Amino acid sequence: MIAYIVRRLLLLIPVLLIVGVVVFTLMHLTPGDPASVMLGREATPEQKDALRERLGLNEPIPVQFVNWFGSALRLDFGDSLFIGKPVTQALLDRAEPTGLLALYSITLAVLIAIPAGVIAAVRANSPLDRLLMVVSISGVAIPSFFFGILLILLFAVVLGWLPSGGYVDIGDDPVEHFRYMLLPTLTLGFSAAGLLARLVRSAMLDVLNEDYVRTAYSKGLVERHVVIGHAFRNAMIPVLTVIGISLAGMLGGAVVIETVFNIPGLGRLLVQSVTRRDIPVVQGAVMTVAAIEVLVMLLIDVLYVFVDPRIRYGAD
Amino acid sequence: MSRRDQRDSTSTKSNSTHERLLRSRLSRRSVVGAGIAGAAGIAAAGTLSRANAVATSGGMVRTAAPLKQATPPAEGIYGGRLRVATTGQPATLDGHFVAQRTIGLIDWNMFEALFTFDGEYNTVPMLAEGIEISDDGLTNKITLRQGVPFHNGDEMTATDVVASFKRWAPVASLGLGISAFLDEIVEVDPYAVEIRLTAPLVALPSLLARQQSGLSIHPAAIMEAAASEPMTPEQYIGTAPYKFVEFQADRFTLLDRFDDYVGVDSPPSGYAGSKAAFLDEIEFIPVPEEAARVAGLQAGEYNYLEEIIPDQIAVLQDSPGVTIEILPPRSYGIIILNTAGGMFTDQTLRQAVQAAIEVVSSGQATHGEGYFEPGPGIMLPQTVWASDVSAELYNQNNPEKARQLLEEAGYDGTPVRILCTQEDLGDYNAAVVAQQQLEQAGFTTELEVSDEATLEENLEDDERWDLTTNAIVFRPDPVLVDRFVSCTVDGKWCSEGKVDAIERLQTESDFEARYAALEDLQRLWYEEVPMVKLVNNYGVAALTSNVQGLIGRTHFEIEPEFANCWLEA
Repeated sequence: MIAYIVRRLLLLIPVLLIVGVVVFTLMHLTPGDPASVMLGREATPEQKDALRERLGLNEPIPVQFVNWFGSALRLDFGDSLFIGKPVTQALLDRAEPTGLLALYSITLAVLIAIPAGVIAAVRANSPLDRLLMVVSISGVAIPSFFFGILLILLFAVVLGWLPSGGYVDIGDDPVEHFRYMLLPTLTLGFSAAGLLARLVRSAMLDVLNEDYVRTAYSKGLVERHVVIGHAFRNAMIPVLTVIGISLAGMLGGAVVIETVFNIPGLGRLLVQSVTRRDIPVVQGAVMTVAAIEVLVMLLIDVLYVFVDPRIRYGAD
Repeated sequence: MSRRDQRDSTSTKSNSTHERLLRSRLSRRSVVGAGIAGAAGIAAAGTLSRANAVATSGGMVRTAAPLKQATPPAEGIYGGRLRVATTGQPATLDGHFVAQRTIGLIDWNMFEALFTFDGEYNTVPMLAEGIEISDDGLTNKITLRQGVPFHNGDEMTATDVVASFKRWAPVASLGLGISAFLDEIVEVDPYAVEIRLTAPLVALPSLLARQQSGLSIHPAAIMEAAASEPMTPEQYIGTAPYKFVEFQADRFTLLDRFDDYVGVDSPPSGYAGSKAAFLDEIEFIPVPEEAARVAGLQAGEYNYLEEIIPDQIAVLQDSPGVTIEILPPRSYGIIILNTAGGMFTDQTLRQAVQAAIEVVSSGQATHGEGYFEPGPGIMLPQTVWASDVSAELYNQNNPEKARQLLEEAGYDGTPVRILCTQEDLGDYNAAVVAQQQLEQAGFTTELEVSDEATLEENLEDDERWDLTTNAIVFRPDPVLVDRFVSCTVDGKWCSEGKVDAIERLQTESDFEARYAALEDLQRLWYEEVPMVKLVNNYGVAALTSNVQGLIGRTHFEIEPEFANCWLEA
């Protein structure tokens, strides 16, 4: 198991290398000059050239790549052209809002989706099943930006109970932090819960039709024990995979939610950096997101072992 | 009666300013306090009457906000935090380096300039006490107010002014305008500097006044430390009523009251006069998403929106606790034709574009019915510079004439390459409308939509494009409009006649001579067609109703300033 984990971690290196090269190449092939973006349309060519020189953008591309790659190996992605601070620091600043939003949202999604999916499967084709599935389809079908704006209009504008957007650090004021995070969590969590609930239902239906479930019923076990103790655990593998993919996506930055709720997170930073042509931040952020994806999927793979003891990694 | 005649006959204020300007030519000129003769013609004749006028367009009637005069600031309530939602996060707040509207909105609450604009757009002293101009116009002695502290406690002196000027002049577009005339700047004594020129530059005080990319004054030590790098946040030290506290990229910029502020002792007017810091704090929050800004204003989380698109005005108009003010024109749309490369190096083809354009459709698409007005002047109508010269060539809507001009020019059907970005919806919509009108007139067109950064880069290549759209924002004097003065901005309009007109605007001290130069410039605009003027776009202010002391006091059409502004309980 340990060897498997180490091997997967070592695989990060070529993954990040490839991602780094691709992102560097794409960013430098994309038209758009950071100096023009920073100085605006009315800047003179001399001003723009001076800024390019200062930012090191006049260096030949291969030189820029060697400089960047050498630093990236030491986890130094350089300084943001726009924010004026090290990229690593800029990413760390954004990690808290994004990480906590992902954590709250995935928790909410799991708390909604698993009971809903299980109940829908156990009561398949009943009115309750249909109701739960209509709600879960809504979660998938309603665009999150639209749902978010509806929530803002109701809870912030009409009722005035919650703030419409922004972010408060949890360390500064935990109560305010949760007030600010409630609507984005509901929006993102509801959206993720829709997909997850449908998947739980589908996986549970497959398992509930297995022979060993019928055997469990025939042994006289009560439904609760059969569903939770036997069926649900076996249905968890695909569910865990989807939870992992959802979590990795959220940690990579829920761009739309962060934009609608004005949360200074990783996704918004990445999108803004692309439009600003803040090349070091884009490179650093994409590599970070890639690393997060790999690590989360590794975590999910490891969790499989605990969910299903038949799965073994290692000796091969 | 022409527009100019109306101005001359209705504005005694402008006449008095004008007479003052004429008098100022006769002897050694000394200007203190009320208005700067050197900035000839800055006073906006008819400003107040125009600003008070009822603007009608498209059936809607809205009262433009007047600028009130001389309201004592003592009426305000101290306390509170004003939260301003901005459209984005500037790369730096160093206005010497970067000209962006959001930077101006934040900076001029922290920093001050030697001169500023009062309620009638007169250029008046701020950190300066006055300016004395030699008879030959080459020596400009600026005396400074004494006892003005920086936020770090040091007193502002001539050393700081010289250091700020020397850092600003080679990099800022306005500074470059002065640099072309500059011999040297010297410190005469601790409270006086002398700007020595190689040729008279009548607009010098205006070029040194508070505006986007203007000369803000900072401690000499900071100017030397920053040198050619943008200032870092801890170096944001000025003399204004609010001082810098904290900056977190993409989260907020926080200012708080500068208790030791020393201002001028005259009634508030525009950006001029006494300034009181009623607010405890001002927080500028970047909120790029329009719907989020509007919802935040409705929810009372933001007190003021830097920008609102007309589509959202209807949403806010009935919201309790929200005030929407329609203001005098803040900008006008333009179609820029590339005179330096591609097909529009041919003047006849440019004239064909001008003949084909109908501006009201463009106004409806870009700003919405009721939020614009057609007008031929290349200076906005609330300024003294408004002119109807060549009005017959404005808004021609004459596809037949355009087709004749195309035939005359031997147009071979080469597509007009129209570049635009959807990141600015106004510019994009204007480009789409222009495309349709050009197609109707017989042009073949290609609309190329990209992001802003790509657009910027493409516009730098003269062989890459033919037409793009943008806007010219309010400036009180033509020499402050970069697109008039510069030969290097997009399109590169740089004819001999234009350069001559600009030179006269910069150097003539007589207002009539300057006005004649402006009219020549406008005539050339319509003859040479480097740009096609669209419509004047009204400013719109969206703020919560508890914000007081702002509407009617500050220049929204440039950008508001939050001194003398307070929050009612």
